[in-house]
Amino acid sequence: MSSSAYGPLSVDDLSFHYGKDGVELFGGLTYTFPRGSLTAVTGPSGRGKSTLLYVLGLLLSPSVGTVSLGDHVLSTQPDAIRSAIRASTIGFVFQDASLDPRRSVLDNVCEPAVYAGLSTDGTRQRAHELVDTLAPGIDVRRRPGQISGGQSQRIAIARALINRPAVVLADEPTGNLDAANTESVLLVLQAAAQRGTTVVIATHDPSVSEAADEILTLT
Amino acid sequence: MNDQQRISTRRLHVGRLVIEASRSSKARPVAGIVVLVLTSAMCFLSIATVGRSLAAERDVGSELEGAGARELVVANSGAWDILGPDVIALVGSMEGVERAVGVGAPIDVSNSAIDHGERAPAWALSGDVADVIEIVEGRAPLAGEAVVSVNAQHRLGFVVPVGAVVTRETNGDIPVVGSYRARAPFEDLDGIVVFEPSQEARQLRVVLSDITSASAVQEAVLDLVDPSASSDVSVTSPVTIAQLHENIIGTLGRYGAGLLAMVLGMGALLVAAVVTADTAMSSAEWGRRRALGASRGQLVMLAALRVMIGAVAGAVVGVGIAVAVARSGRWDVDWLFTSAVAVLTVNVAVVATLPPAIRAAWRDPVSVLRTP
Repeated sequence: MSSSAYGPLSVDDLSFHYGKDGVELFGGLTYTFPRGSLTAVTGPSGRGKSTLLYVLGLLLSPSVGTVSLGDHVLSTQPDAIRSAIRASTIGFVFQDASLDPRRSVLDNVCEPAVYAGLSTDGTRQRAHELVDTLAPGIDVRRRPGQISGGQSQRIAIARALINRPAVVLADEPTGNLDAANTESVLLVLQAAAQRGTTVVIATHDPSVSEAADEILTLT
Repeated sequence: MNDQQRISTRRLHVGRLVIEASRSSKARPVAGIVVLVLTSAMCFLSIATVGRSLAAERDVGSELEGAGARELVVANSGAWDILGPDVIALVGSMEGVERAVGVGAPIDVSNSAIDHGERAPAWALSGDVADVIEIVEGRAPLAGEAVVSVNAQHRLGFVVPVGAVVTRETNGDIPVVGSYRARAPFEDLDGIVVFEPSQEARQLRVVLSDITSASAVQEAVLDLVDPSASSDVSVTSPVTIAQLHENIIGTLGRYGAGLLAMVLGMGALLVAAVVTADTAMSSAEWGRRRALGASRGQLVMLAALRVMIGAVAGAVVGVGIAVAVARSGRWDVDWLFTSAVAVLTVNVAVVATLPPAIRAAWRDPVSVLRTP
């Protein structure tokens, strides 16, 4: 099933605070992330850009409000279901790539398929295709320590796309990259959005905001 | 399939998780190697200590359960006839009785063909002769006939076990029709056995089927024989041996079980400590796996499978070492016990994994995913 088969990702009356005495974030945010678009979430530090991604990624539960995909409210589901949704429907990209340094590039890209229960052969074939497209020339048998930071981030994006997710959530994906690598990573994420994936990027980087279709500023 | 169907379907792909556990163990081998060493030590120590204790228990048990230890003897030295053929037949048919025979008082006999030949003891026997002796040559005796033991045959001067013996008391001949070897516990009947099925016995010798039923069978036999009728009746009882048997088996069993529990318990604690340390050092990995879609259950299963891989290898190594040491001549290998220990060790290691793995799986993944 392609990612375009899903409805848009949206939040309704969303608030979140860490613990009982934590600062309330988002202040009842209602927002729809258009399907097939790249949205940059910006704002000053401490306004909850990364937290919003973790709430959208169902790793955190909203204090108030809901996260939905199409007509389906996801955030109220039990943890096991939210994990299953995350495995099949959501891809994560982290600032530091978070690849397993002891595993090969191929194993890293294939990892989410384990949790989604996809077939090994099909997954490995798709991983090869993704690496060839997003990071051409990389030997998939190499370890992450043997490739550059930009290549690592593109491998992390390949990992996020391996299960054909409806949503890709990227937390400062260009934060550790130079301008050239930032541009190449943005091109990869834009291409994913053009294929129907909803891409949400938490960023401080103005070049990311310039490349985005939508900008959500948390104040 | 619509969105809801797809996103709400959690399929548990154990095969994929096993492959993932195997690959991640290979990539991060230290914890697996430590688990392997621990479980091999658990296996070896269990087999080397408890296994040997079990073998000792079995040896002592078989000694105490031998036919000699299971023998109840009721001897009548008085004038009352209380051990007649009917009593012997009834005792022989009792539950818990393997064999019951009546044995008369010994008399001296000699070869009737040799004047002043060497003498040997002879016993009249009632009951089933086959319960007492095994015919080596010739045939089983009929009523009034005798057979001679292999040792006594030469002593009495029989070239072949055929002829007759004469008793000093009666001066009458008793035909000899074969030779025998006495069955345990009747090795003391080494001489001549005369089959006298209708004669009153002086001794009732009962071999019990099972030492543990000694007390009950003895009670039933004595009820039937009624020794209180005569002060000349004595009883040699296996009940004390049965009690000793029970005590020794109980003590050795408790010792073995305690030792096994201690070895496996210590091993379980160490495995749990290894998993705790491993999950603490891999918190970023666990957070990443959660973000990529692993459920808590899958993480726990992954940790358990990783330990299981190391534990299975450890059990194989431990059993291998134990068997090698055993084969070097120290003790016999009990394969059933050895297999049970191997399976138990793997299970204990996997169960010991669960508390630290569950604790780690419930840790907040966001705290380790955040980049400062």
